[in-house]
Parts: sequence; structure tokens; C-alpha cells
Amino acid sequence: MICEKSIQIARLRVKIGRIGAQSIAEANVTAPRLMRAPSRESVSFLMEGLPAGCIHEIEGASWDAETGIAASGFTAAMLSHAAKGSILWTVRRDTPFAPRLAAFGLHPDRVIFCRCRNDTETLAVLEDALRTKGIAGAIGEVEHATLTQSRRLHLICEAAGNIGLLLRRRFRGVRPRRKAEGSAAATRWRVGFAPTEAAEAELGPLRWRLDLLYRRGGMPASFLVEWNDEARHLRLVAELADHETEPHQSGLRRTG
Amino acid sequence: MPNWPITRLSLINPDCAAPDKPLAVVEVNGSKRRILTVNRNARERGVMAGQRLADAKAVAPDLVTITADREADNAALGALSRWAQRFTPSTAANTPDGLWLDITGCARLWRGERRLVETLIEQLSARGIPCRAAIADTFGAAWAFARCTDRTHILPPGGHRDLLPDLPVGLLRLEAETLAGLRRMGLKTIGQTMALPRAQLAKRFADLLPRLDQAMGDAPEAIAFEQPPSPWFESAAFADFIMTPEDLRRTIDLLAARLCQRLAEAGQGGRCFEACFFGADNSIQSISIATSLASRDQKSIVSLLASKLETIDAGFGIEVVTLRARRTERVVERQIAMEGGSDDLADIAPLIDKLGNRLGFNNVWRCAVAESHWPEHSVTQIAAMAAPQRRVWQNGWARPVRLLSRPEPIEVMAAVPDYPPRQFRWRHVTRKIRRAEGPERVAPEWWQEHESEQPSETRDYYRVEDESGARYWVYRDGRYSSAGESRWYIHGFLA
Repeated sequence: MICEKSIQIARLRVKIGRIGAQSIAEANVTAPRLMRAPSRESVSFLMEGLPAGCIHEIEGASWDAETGIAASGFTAAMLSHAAKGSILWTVRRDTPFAPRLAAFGLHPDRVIFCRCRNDTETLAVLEDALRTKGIAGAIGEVEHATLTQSRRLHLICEAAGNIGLLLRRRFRGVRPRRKAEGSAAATRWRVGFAPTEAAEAELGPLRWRLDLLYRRGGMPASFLVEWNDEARHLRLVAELADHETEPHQSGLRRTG
Repeated sequence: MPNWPITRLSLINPDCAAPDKPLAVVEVNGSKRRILTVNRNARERGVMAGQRLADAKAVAPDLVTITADREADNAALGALSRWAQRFTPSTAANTPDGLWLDITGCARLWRGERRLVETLIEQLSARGIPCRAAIADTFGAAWAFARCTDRTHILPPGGHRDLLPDLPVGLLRLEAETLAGLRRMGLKTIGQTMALPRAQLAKRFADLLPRLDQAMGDAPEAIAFEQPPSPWFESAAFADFIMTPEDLRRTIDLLAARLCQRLAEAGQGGRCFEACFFGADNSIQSISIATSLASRDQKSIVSLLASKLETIDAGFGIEVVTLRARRTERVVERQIAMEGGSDDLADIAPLIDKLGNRLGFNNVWRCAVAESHWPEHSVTQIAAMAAPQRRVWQNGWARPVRLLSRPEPIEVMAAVPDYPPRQFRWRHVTRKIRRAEGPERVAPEWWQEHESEQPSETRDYYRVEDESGARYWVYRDGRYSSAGESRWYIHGFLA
């Protein structure tokens, strides 16, 4: 009797846990894009780089979700201030170009690349890497990580004090999962390109549109940032009345 | 192993090789058919090796004959030599009917050479393979003593110099022609030939002196062993076969402890470890691991081996487990860093070993600067544990974060003569260019122009940005010429 009851309670607990996780994930994905202007707190959080001791998810916006170009750049930028130690970057097919990573501050002597065949292999490699002393950060290019897998990574990071990054990419030929699952990541970013606004026809500093989709204990926010290659830091771009105004045509349609 | 062809036949087909029937293996050479070997029954009836088949049939009309199959005999000998690797890693087949075992450093595992030989003979006899064995300092002496009598000879170090001269010259592995010549001269024992002047012997018999010197240990002899001899060898044999993975792991642990202790005493470390499992059904399975730094750390070696243990199928049980270190080298003792300072490379060595053994060492790498301006050639892959290069690319900021493995052609609209593109079409999507920087001219290295792989055109690279802010790295192949259409390629994505 007792045994049966306890099993049932355990099952219910798992079920509730799943519902909770799912609702968070759905909120992340389908939430109306009510992006707030970044608060002072979240700005400082961004400028100092991603905090260590936890894992973060980074994905590309629109078509870049497959290629992960801006996301790779942002990942490298976020690690440029990482603590001393080696960085492990697991790749699937294409490898980030080392000269560019070096310009982000990731010296080639520090970066170890590792090719994995699938998500399971990547996540196992990440676990081993993050457990290793001397590894400051590990980046895993994955298509999908379950809640359990991300929790495991989070616990390892927490114990070791290093940083784990899941660079989520939709690899060609891999169908995206319909159902999003919760994640134990501390933050979740969507990185998109943003056009520069420099003098005529020149390429200004690199710009990214950053959507902080989720942050544990914080609010989602959206940033427009510039990356400075010489100083190696992110600068927040003021977006005061910089965007196009909404066309007010809805009223007309209603009366007509 | 006397009568190896007969032994092999009796093992694969006990019926045809019944001991109560005369049996002969016949070698067919053109129209000649000669007896190669005979079994005991046939020998008692008067059939001899080397006889013509017709003569033999006259002596024993009910003689069963089987055509010789040298290839099968040699293959079986090879299998037997691998079986014998439970005694020492370096074994080799000695065609037509023998096995070489280099037991240097391995007798210790069997508490003496005599015990080793006795076990070997016992195990072979139990499998129905009659054999004789001898241990000597040189291959030639061992060969001679294994064949001279039925007794097992174990010669003390240097003993062959005293005993070998008394043996007949036939035991020197000589050509039949040489033997006949020696017999004509009345030379019967090895000692008699040694007393003669060497110059004349060398003139008359080409192969006599080399064989003699090899047997006496005055000339080196190379045997093609399946594995190079290594003193870093441990083995454990079980009277009751072991089957469970836990037992296998425990055995590996035990062997690794012994091996690591010996390595530590010698100040050595192994780069490659191989564990072999000899099954009760005579199967041999092995797992091997490699480490990036010479290692004698029992724990890490065992955990690396254990991760591959699941590939071992214990089957009917494992009889013998051996562990061997290949590629040993001196271990440089590291000073443990004080005050939290740490040696990066040594710290991550266990991780690299683990990943390398799991994914393959070519799937774990670091990048290094290569002396080339050609973008694809400016990066080389080096081993993850290679020494730090302390060099970095100078123009990394102008390079793409992802480089296409091969530049892909694009359709471009650009103003002549050398303006950046206005828009381009790649993979069926048109991208309008808003901003551009360039060109950055990259010329191929002149000394590589003759190599066909290298395109000999210069490239004018432009960094362009489209309406969404995405940046691309495109180039025009070759200089602009008014005559021909210029070819454009996309080579990477900037971020």
C-alpha cells in the first residue's frame, strides 16, 4: 500500500514538474514580443559578460538559426572575458574560423575544438569538459537539449564555477522539434543581425539585435548592441526614437 | 610441432585422421607426387616422408592420402601464434611447423621459464597438438634444440655455446643443397664445421656462416613478430573462466596496478595501452587506448579501458587477460604548481584522452597559425596537446567567423570596373547590399603556382552588409578585365 502510494505521489510530482517546465518553455517561445527597454541592472549584466557557474542558451534569429553566424560571434564575444583556462568548442559540421575567434580574444592556444556526431555525444562531451579542471568554458553546438540534460550541465557548472554555453542550431536535415521543452539555462538569448548606421557606405562596428528571451529571476528584454573589436566590449546603442513608427492605418480600416 | 599438417587435419576432421588408419599428406609437384608427412600408423607400416606415392601405396595399400594445403597450414599456424600471445605479446609463426615466442621479461609472470614452457606444452597437448619446445638465447639455438630430441631443453644464458657444437648440422636451418654438400664432406656436427677455416666455408656454402653466426648469437636475427617485444607486459590467467564485466574490470584494475608500479619504478610512462582477452573458445579480443601524455596513472588508464570494456563479448568465459604498454617513454616529473597556479595543458590532458579515445584523436584539435595569406591555408589543425604556439593572426578582425569549406559561386550585380557588388544571389536568395568595404587583395603564393590545386588568380575580397545587417565575405576571382565576365564567390560570413 505504502509503496503504491509513494510511487503514485512520485509520478504526480514528475507530471507537475513537467507541466511547470513546459509552461515556462511555451511562454518563452510564444510570448507576445513585449520586449521591454533594458533596465539598468540587465545592462550591467550584459556588459560584464555572462555570469559563470551556470549555463546559457544562445540561438540565431530567423535564417541564422541554421547557420548560427551572429550567435557564434556573440558567443565568442561573451567568452572573451572568461577566466583563464581552456575553452572547448564542440562542432558538428562547420568549424568557426580561428583567426576571427582570436580577434575576439580567444587565443588559438586556448581553444580546443571537438567534433561530435549528434546531440547526445555533444552533451556528454560538455559534461566531461565542464567537470575538468582547467576548462574555463565549454560551448556545445546542439540542436536540442532536454530539461534533464540541461539540468545536469547546470549542476556541473555550478559545482565547477565555469561557464557552459549551448549554441542552439537547427542543423540542415534535422527537423526542428515541435514541442519546446524547459531548460535549466540561466539566460536564453536570440542573436540577430542589425544594420549599421555609420557614415555613408562604410561598415561600422558590428551590431547585434539581442533578445533576452528568458532570464532566471529577471525580465526579458531586448537590446541593440555594438561590438568594439579594439576594446573588446559591448556597447549599448541608444534606441531613442530610432525605430520606424507604426503605420496608423488600422483606424481607417475600421470605419471603412 | 612435428607433423603439423597431420595435427591440423586431425583437429579439423577427427574422422579422416583416425590414429588406427595409415594417413599421408601428399605434395603434388607437377606430375610427381611425394609424401610430405605421415601419421604414426603409416610410419609403423614403413611409409616415410619424401617417398614417392606409388612406392608408399605398394608398402601400404590402404594408405589414405590427402593433398597438402600449405596456405591452410600457415594460416592455422598464424592463428596458433596469436593464441600464444597469452604467454608473451611477441609471437610469430615459423613456417612450416613452428612458433617463435620472445619471452624476454615474461617468464617472471609464470615464476620461471620452466613453468612457462610446461604450461605451454600442457595447454597445447590438451588441445591435441603435440609439440616440443626449447628456450635459448638465440632463435637458431632454440630452433635446433626444439627439434633434436623429445626432451624440453631450457638452456642457461650462454649455454648454447657449449652445447650447440655437439648437434648435427641438419639443425642449422640450412638449404637442402648445403646439407648434401656438408654430408659429402663428412661434416656431421656443428662443431666440426666451426673448426674449419671460415673463408673457405663462406666460398662454398653461402648460407652456412650466417646461420651458424645467428645460432651462436654472433649475428643478429630479425623475426617478424606480430607485436614488437615489450617488457611492459602483464597477464592474469584464470582456472575458472571469468565472465562478468565487473570481474573483467577488476582484472584490468589489478593488471594496471602491477604495470603502473613497474613503470613508476623505471621512471617510464606508456602512450598506448592494449588489453587482450583470450576466450575459452580460443577467440581473442582486444581493446586499446592512447594517452596524449605518457601516463602511468592507474586510475585514468583503468577508466579509459573500462569505457571500452562493453565491446568485449565474454562468450563462454575469459581464460587469460593481458595488459601491455606500447610506446613507452620517460615521464618528466612535473612540479605541482603552488598557490593555485596551474599548468593548463597538464590539467586538461585527462579530458583530451577521454575525448580522443571516445571520438578519435583526429576529432579533437586546436588551430594554429600557418604561414599563408590565402584564407583557407592560414589555419592548420594541430593536436590538442601540442605545445602552445604563442602566435596569433594579425588580421583576424577582418575575417569571417564562419568560413565556407569551399567558396561558392554567386551571381552579382556590380558596377565596373572594380566596385563592390550592389546585390548578389546565393542559394536562390537575392541579397541587396547596403554597405561594403574593400577590396582586400589576396594574391596566391608564387611558389605554389605550379601546383594544380591552387588557383592562380588573385582574389579581391569585399566585406559587404545587406539590408538586414548580415555581413558576407565575397570576392572577385582575378582582376577586372573588360573582356570577360568576372566571377564572384562567397567565402564566409562575418560577425
